[in-house]
Amino acid sequence: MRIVVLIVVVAVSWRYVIRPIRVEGPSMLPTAKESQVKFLYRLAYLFHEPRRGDVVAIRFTGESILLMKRIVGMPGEKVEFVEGRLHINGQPRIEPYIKRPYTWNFVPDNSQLGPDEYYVVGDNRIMPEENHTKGVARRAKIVGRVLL
Amino acid sequence: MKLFRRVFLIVILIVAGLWIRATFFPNPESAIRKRLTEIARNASTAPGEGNITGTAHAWRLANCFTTNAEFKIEWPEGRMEETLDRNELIRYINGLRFGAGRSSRIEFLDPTIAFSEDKKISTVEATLRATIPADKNFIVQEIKIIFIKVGRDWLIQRVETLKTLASL
Repeated sequence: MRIVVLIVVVAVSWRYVIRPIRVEGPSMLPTAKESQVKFLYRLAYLFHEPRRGDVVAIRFTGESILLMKRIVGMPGEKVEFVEGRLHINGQPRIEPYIKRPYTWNFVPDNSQLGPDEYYVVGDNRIMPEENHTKGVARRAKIVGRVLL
Repeated sequence: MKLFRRVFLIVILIVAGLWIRATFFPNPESAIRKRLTEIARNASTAPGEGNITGTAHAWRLANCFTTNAEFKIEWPEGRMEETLDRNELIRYINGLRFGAGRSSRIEFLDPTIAFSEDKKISTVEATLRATIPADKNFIVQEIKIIFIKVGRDWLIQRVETLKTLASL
């Protein structure tokens, strides 16, 4: 009986509360290293919306594979990278999690996010900007916060 | 004993009936899932695969498409938007399979399958994962596949890539 209860508790927790994820790829270095195991907390946004600086998991068509990225732009904001610095609504922002200087210049024509959109990017900005997966994630695609 | 025989016969008949139904009259969603598995199997390459086997897989894969299939594919280095006839498609598939090297594995993860009202068109969105075991990296891409029903077959009319993260 105890084993059955344990299995049910683990299965429910895995599906609805917290689940382990394994990191693949270099885009979140140095915050998350290749092959590290992190935990995805699914209830993080039950009572509030995602916040700037949160590392979140973004789903594809399902949750077999997830993208791990950091939220840098909030709904309605303008996001740009100018000479290796994140600018929000034209103002530079300090990002304490970025450990090494980078040189990105990424100023799109229309950089304003929609009401339901977050701008997400990895912490590894020393990799070339064109090789780095970043972009606009709709709220519905964000499945939870990654516990670091 | 007689009762046991009767029960056994009934069970056998039920199992046979279910098998016949699943095989010859599959529900559309099962048929699409089966098609995706078939596509993934024929798109994957195995170590030591010979030219004849490779060409046979390419033919089988090409037979999963309509005679003029549309492609709208975007990847970081470029994009392709064209319609390919059967011969062009086979050449393309052979090129891709050859380029993938000795061993590659294609999978369609988390497919969502929708149908038109008349059940003649199906739209599938799935996460394609391409893995080369010798290489640590893998490719992950959301794709949309439009199947149309031709006779009893579901054939691919259109393949397009979807963006998980939109551009600004």
